[in-house]
Amino acid sequence: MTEGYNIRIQVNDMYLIGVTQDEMSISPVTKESIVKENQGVKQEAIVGHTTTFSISGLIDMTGGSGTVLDNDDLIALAAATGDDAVVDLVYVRASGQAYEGTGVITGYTETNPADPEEDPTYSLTIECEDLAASS
Amino acid sequence: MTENIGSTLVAACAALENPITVFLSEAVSEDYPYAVYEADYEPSYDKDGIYKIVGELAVRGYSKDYSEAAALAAAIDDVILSTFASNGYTVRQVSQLKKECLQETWSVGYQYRITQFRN
Repeated sequence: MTEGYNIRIQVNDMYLIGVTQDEMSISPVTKESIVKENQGVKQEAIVGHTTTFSISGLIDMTGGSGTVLDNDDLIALAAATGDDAVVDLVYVRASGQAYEGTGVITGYTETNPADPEEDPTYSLTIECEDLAASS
Repeated sequence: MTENIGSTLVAACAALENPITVFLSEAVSEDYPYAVYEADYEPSYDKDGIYKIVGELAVRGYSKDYSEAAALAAAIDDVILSTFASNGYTVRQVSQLKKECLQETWSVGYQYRITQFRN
C-alpha cells in the first residue's frame, strides 16, 4: 500500500512547498457530430482528455530552496503569460508509475484567516491536455 | 520534527537566577515550591511530515503559602511568554486555572497554547 504523502506532483522538476493535499481528475473531451447517415442520432466521440490537478498547501514565509517552489514562485507562474505560463508536470507515485505532461496554472488562491489557530493556505489548479505515462 | 515544548519549558525554568523545579504531570518532591505541567500535543502534517505541533499546557505553581504559589505562577508566566515568543514557537495564555488549596498546599496557574513550528 502506498501512503498518500508518497504521491506528489512536481512542477518544472520541483516540488511545491507545504503541500497538504494533491488531487488529480481526468475528464474526457468529447466532440459531437451528426451526418445524414446517423438518421437523426448525434454521435459523440472522445477526442482527448483534460487532466486537472488541484493542490492545497500551507503558505510558508521561510521561502523555498533550489528544489522547492515557494509561494512567490507559484504567484509568478500563475501570473506568467505566453510560453512562460507553460509548466512541465510530473505526477509521481512512490515505487510506481509516473505520469508526465505540460500544463498551465488556471487558478491560484491564498487564504489568510484571522483566527490564530488556522494556518494561511493556498490552493492551486493546473490543467494539462497531454498527460501520459512516462517511459 | 519532534516535540520539545515540555523540555524547553523545564530547561528555561531551571536556567532562571532562582531556578524553578518543573515536573511533568506529577510532582516527585515535597520540597516546595515547585511547578507541575500537564500537556496535550497535536501534530499537523503536510507532505513533508509534521509541520507544527500544538501543545495545550496547564502549568501550576505549588506552595504551602498562597502568595508564594501566586508569585511562582507569575514567574513561570514570564518565562513561558518570553521563551516561546520566537525561535520557531508561538504562545498564547488561554486562561487562568482555578486556584486551589488541597491538604494545605496552594496551587495557582495558567493554561497556554504553545505552537512549535518546523524550522
